[in-house]
Amino acid sequence: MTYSLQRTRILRGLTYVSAVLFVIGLYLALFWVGPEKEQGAAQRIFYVHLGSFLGAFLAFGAVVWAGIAYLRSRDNRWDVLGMSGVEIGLGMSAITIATGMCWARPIWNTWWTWDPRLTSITIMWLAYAAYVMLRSGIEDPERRRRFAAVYGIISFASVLFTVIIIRVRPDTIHPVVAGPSESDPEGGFQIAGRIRTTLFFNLFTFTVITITLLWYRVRLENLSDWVLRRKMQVLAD
Amino acid sequence: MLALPPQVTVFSMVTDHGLLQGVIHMDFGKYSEYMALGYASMGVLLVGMIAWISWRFRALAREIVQLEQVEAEEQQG
Repeated sequence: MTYSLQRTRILRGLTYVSAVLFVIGLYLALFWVGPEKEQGAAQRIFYVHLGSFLGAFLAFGAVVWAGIAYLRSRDNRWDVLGMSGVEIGLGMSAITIATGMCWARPIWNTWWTWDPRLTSITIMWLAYAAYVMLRSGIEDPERRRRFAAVYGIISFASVLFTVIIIRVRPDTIHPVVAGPSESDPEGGFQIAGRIRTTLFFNLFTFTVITITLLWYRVRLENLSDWVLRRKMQVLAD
Repeated sequence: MLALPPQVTVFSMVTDHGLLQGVIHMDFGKYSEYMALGYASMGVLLVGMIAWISWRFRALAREIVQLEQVEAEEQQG
């Protein structure tokens, strides 16, 4: 199986860019930006916590896009993108949950609490984990792809739910970074200076990392399909 | 000379054996252990994702080699 040389070069370049951005992002988050007065070093987790959630959001967003495109065109390439998006999104949201727990322990004095935001992200993660399991349970390829497309679109409701829950539930203790909240009805973006620069840099870094991983995952699936087809051909001969 | 971040201190010390040893000390202040745990968990998960994709690529590459061997044997036979 051969890939376009130009695309391979772009992917390789993107891999190097991701690695460099990641190192710079770490330097900014750990050394360049100062510590927060009340939360101390635990606040530095916030940069990767938010970055990984953006990565998950983009990956799950790609699943919706791929799902709609598949249902319209019945082109298998969209199904590959959808499945890849789910896997990468699951990994990214696992990072969000794990880093959030490490932040919560010193700040909330507990690793985990059934706060509306934490509950909603758990539901989101389980909904996409169920996608992987249910998908592998359907044998008919056309039915599997159709199911995956519809399920991928519907599951995005859990992502939106996770994003908006802290704005509609007054009993959440999860901090609100941007937009209106119970404590600040006017809304706005309260972060400035080095914290803002570091946050935006890490958001950009995680966006690039997510795109790179997604691209590799799509290639892996294409290669896997090709190997399977070739295997069938060899067996048929 | 490149200035070090305030969290990092580098000093040298002479050991009992008379050797000069460079020591890097990092101090991130309160809750630094949770910060380290958070970044470590991110690292493990990110490396895990990359390793998982990479391992599957390698497994497929091995399968391709095996398929080529079978095809070559069939052509010879």
